[in-house]
Amino acid sequence: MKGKFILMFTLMGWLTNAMAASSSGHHVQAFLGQFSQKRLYLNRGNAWQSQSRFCAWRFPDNPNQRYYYTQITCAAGSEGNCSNNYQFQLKPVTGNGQAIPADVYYKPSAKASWQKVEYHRMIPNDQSQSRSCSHAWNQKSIKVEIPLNAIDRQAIKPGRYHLGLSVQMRPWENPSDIIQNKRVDVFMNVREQIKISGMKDINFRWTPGQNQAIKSDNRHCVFVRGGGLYRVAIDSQNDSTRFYLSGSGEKIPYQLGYKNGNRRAEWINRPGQLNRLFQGSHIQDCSGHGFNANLIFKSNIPSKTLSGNYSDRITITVQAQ
Amino acid sequence: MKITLKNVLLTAGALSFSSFTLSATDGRLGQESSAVVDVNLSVSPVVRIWGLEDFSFTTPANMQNDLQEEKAFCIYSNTRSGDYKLVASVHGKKDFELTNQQSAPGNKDSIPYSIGFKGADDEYRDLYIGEHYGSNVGAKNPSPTLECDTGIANANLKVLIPADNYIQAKEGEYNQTVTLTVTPN
Repeated sequence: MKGKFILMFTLMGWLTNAMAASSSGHHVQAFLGQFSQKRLYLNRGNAWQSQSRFCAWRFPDNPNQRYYYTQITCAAGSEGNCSNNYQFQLKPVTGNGQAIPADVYYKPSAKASWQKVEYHRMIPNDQSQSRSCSHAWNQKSIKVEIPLNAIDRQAIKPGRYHLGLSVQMRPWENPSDIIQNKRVDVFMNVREQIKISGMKDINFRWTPGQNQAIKSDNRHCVFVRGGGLYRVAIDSQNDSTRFYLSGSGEKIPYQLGYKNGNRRAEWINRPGQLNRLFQGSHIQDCSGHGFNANLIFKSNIPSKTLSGNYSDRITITVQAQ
Repeated sequence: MKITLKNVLLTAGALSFSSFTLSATDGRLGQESSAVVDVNLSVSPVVRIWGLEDFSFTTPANMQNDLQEEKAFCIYSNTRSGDYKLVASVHGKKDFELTNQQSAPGNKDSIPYSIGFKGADDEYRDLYIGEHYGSNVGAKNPSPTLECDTGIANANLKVLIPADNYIQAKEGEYNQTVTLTVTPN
């Protein structure tokens, strides 16, 4: 029962407009409105597209004038969202990111297919069958999506991005006129994100008589959205003031170095934060591009170290800057 | 008559490596991200025996005195207890017996002898081929990277050739190679 009631309410909503149009004593000539949402948000829940349904009809007394053009272009004050190469683009509002291409699609009726919009071209042959928003021909949709692959999306720098769109109805007989014009705003909020991955345990087997200096590289990936900088802190489970392996009642000191790219490693012998900032990869998990960071372990094992197992657990925390 | 006892000393480590489990974890995608890495070092239990020189005797003119010599050497162990086992072996023989290498085949003259062994905190015990002798490296447990000298030696070997055993022997050079093997205990 509840579901049926809601369905009736929605239908009433569509019909209300048509009834209001006729109750004024003369016919409304054109209508553009009832957007399901006028603010489209991208990058929510990993959805890189968003769409809105709306209603549009032109139903003048002269039936020959039911045709109209639809043009979707950049809204007044947002002209920069229309680039020179006819590409819509979201522009950064905050942050230091670059413009992000956006594809806009239009569906001229409930049963039609999506067609890609070029902002400088009018979409011809829109026509109305009635003054009712319940008519499938009058049910339009607009969709915006980011035409980037997963890798390129990861390269988008954090910040807020915006695209202001204008949905315009222009009469078929005189397309330079705009008889209806509604604004739709597209927003995308790209948060700072970072991920450390690819780490492996550091294992040594050592026998007295072997080289007492042991060393190990632990290459891994630090992804920072947009390829930004990050800070590194390293903690030890054994001690908060110095690094050592513990076991058999003995402590074996060690040092850790952190290296990124071709720069020299920064070395620390106690838990804490490293001084330098490091450059993150703009590709999550560095897939196909090789690891960009290296945690270097080194120690000098005393010659009379007793047999047994020595260990520590270190936590490497990276923070986007 | 010259009597030589050569000792070839071997190091033997009982290897009992622990296996490492994989536990490193990647960080999550977020405003900060942490990875956990385990660092493991397994030091295997080993021993080292070194610093023992050959024994060499020449029979006295009166042929009446027992021949005896004592030498110190080093045994190192990295186990917490410092315990080890020592075993002596010789090639092709069941006894400690010096053989005249110049004698005709099938008619080799031989001279029986005995070996005593003393660990860091032990009294001398007679060694028998193939038998294991438990002992301990003691508080001096020498550094395995140093030369073994009297300052760090912690074990002794004593060779005894009674006069009765060599008085009937023909002139010549007699010898035997003894291998001492230690393992962590």
